[in-house]
Amino acid sequence: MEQSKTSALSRAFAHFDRPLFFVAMSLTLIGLMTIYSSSYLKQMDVFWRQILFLGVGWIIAISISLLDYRVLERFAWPFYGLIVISLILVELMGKTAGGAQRWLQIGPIQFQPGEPTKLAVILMLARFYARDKGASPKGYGLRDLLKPILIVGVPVLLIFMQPNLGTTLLVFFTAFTIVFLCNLKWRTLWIVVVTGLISIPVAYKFLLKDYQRVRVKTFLNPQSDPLGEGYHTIQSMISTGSGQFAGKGFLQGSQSKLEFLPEHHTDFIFSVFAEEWGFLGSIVVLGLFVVFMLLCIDVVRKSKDAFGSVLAMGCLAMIMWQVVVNIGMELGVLPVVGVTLPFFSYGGSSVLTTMVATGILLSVSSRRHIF
Amino acid sequence: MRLADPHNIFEMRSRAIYVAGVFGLLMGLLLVRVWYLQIWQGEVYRQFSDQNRFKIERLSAPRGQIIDRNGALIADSRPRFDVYFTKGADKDWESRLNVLREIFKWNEDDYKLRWNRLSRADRYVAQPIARDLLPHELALIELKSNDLSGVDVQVVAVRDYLYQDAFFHVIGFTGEIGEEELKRLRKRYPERDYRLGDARGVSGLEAMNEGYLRGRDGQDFQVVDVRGRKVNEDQWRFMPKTQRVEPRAGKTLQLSLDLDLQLEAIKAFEGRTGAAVAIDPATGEVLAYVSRPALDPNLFSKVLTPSEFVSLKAQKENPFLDRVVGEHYPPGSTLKLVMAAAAIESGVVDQRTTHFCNGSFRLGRRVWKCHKREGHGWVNVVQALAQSCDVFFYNAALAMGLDSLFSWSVRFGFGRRTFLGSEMLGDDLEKIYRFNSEQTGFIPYADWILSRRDSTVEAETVNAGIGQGAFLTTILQLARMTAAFGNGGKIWQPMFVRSMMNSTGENRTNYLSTLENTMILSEKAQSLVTQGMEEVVSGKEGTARASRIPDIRFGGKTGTAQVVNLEVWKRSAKKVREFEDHALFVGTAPMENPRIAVAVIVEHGGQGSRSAAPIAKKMIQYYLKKETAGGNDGTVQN
Repeated sequence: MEQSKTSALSRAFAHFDRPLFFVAMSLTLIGLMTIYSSSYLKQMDVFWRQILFLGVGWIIAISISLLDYRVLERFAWPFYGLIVISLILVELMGKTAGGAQRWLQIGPIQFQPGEPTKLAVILMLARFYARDKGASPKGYGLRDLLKPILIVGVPVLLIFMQPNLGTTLLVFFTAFTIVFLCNLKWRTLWIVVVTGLISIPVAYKFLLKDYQRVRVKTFLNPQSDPLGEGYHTIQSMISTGSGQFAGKGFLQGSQSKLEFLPEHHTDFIFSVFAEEWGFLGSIVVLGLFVVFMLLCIDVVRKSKDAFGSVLAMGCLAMIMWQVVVNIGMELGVLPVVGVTLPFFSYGGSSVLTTMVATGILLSVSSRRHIF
Repeated sequence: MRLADPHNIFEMRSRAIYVAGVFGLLMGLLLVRVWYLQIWQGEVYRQFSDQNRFKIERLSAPRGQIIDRNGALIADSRPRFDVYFTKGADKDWESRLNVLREIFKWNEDDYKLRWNRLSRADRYVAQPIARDLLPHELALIELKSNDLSGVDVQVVAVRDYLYQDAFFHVIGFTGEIGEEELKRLRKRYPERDYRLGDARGVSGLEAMNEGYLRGRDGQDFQVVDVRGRKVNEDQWRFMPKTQRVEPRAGKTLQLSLDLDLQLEAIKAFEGRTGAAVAIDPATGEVLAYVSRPALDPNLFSKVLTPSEFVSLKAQKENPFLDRVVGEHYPPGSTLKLVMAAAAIESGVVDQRTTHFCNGSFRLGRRVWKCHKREGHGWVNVVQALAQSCDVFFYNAALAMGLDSLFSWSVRFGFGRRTFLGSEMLGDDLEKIYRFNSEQTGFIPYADWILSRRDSTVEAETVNAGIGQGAFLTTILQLARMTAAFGNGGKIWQPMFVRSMMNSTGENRTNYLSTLENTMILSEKAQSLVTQGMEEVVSGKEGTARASRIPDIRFGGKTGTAQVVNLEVWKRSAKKVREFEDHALFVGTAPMENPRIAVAVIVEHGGQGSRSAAPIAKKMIQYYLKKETAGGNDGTVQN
């Protein structure tokens, strides 16, 4: 037993997915560099804390990658339960930020349960699909969606009530990607998509809070209110655009240094980078994310079991949807919904969630040869 | 250990390709968007970001100074400190507002007002929050500047009138530009860069010479962060050096007015309502220009609440009215000077002509009274002027005829605007400016009376003979008429801007008044009328003998203008002040070589000899005394 464990470990090292690690580490370092640039003038503590978060995050990621991911199947229910409870607690006694309850204070630690919710949902869906034998060979139909909807619905509803539109949408997209991967019938897919499109105006009218509606409106026409709600979008577009081909140079982006760009080390970090490194830098970062995505797809395809595949796809989808939504919002093509950019944005909860997902991807990858 | 069984793992592998395809497509779209922003539109956004980080601070230019003929400062420019508040990104702007509340000691209402305005305002737009800071408030703001991010003190140059209400009607006042005026001013002076809230001349010289008095604002380019805080330059060595454009003050105007004479005249008014104007007969320069009551123009550099403004407007004796040119009055007996000259020139009167005054004059069924009930007896023209005998002039007027009187009145400059202040406009007739809504006055003529059908030409001729009836004149017209008896018949367009120069005193342009008309008065007319004027003051029976000035040959003419006709006056139970006659006096001195001509009206002042003549006397006495002391020349410069 003892021996098999060590051999498993050494085998894990031997099969460690070095390209994936390299790409993820590159993104981390570029992100850290950008955090430095955006904070060195007035908030160096942000940089030091980000180093701490990333350090802890990578240790956790490497630890998870050495762990056999199948262990995680056992933690699915307890983890999920814990998350649902803390979401309820946030609802009852959470700290408010920007009109929404998102934070939970546990002793000295502030904690945002919205972030790990994504992981809990991924884990539960992976467990569900790995065990589910009920599907017909033709794939899952509409009726088979009931259980996944329940799994996803409970926490999503709680997050939506906070309200946190960004995380709600992300969990939903991630879950939907997983459901699609697990052989959802094409016909069902179209039904879901069409229903979704029809329900958007209804949701806009009845489900969104006033400030969210304003954001959507401003997104549709940011110039209508350049110094009020459209401010974020316009300043972010100015930051990115003013980088031009080669960028203004490291540490020389005026938009973020002079605080024209708001929330520049969290939600708008890509604009900081694009301002200083220009189109060339943007190609590199977007390219690295695409390579990361392709490597992860490879992990999904090469996994020997369904649990691993679904898990990897969940982590990949979670990260990539955040990338698409965040960058889209920074470039002014999507509404400002408060989604962070993985590997780049400052923040403990965000960094840890990304790192755990990376660890899981590395773990699934390094065990594709075991069986 | 559960082996990889999955029913659907192969399906998953193909599905994963779709997912890769979707993400790949989305990332491709983002790349296109990045290309669009950075390459296609990059130049535009680079310009935006440059504007973002440079704040163009306006350096408010002082308004041109206004000085009197001796170089004494009358209107200056002072800095006014205003506080602007930018909420900025942080949510805790209320605590900063509370710091301000303690500095300014706002009460609950003041605070609420500002809180309401700010809570509605955009986060990055500066809102005005306090005006015209006192020195200690400014010091407190500087002291607490660390707690007051987003609080910005701006300096605006505003007018400072050194003598409060003394020059209200000449210089006028400045006010803040509203939306409507902004459009008009931008069109008229496109190079002057007007903005909302700037000061602009509203009345008087301030309005007339707006284009000269307004300076050119300077600019200071600064690197700022989003709250408008200046960023230390050494920290940003890569940024372009800042350039500063110094503000240029407006032109200095030197008036022909004499500060001391003006103050002396105001003192002489003792708070009564009326007007006084003094001109130099030799040059047409206005020496004093007084209209009472007046307001302190400094009031308008502050922000008046609408109710304050209405209460100023609603004052009974409208202080906004310029009684020198903006209102016309019946000239009363002061017109007898013109009558006498006209009658002599027309040949109906000479030194031997006498009329008997028994206290009344009958024409058809109407009877006119002389102001002296018992009558003056036999009087010649000099005596008639000195004692202001009405009957003599009823006869003279009838003998001469109304249209003859009309043409002489025109020659003496009545019935048309003086175009005061047009000295700076040169020959450009299009620019002719109606200073302070100058009135034309009115001379009745036969056709006009016939067209009205409510009186006869004869009756109106009799009325006009003593300056009553439809005849109307401004006080300035009276003054220049008086001056014409001392300068050989010259009728000037009076002027009050002697010269204009840069704020440093360079590039001086001098102005001369325009000679409108020179009458050739016969020696006889000239000497008889001036003799009469002198008798008014120094004669034993002169109406203004109480206002004699020792050692100075001072001549003039009193006048009393009826406000309502005699019937109403008799019927009014109490002698209400509003029905009391206006007191007038015109005068000039010294008679051998007149240096100053004065016209005074005291509204509802009763007889001209009692209330108007003493004012004229004080002005003339003061001015001539000062002149002999050698201080009126205006060649002395500060």
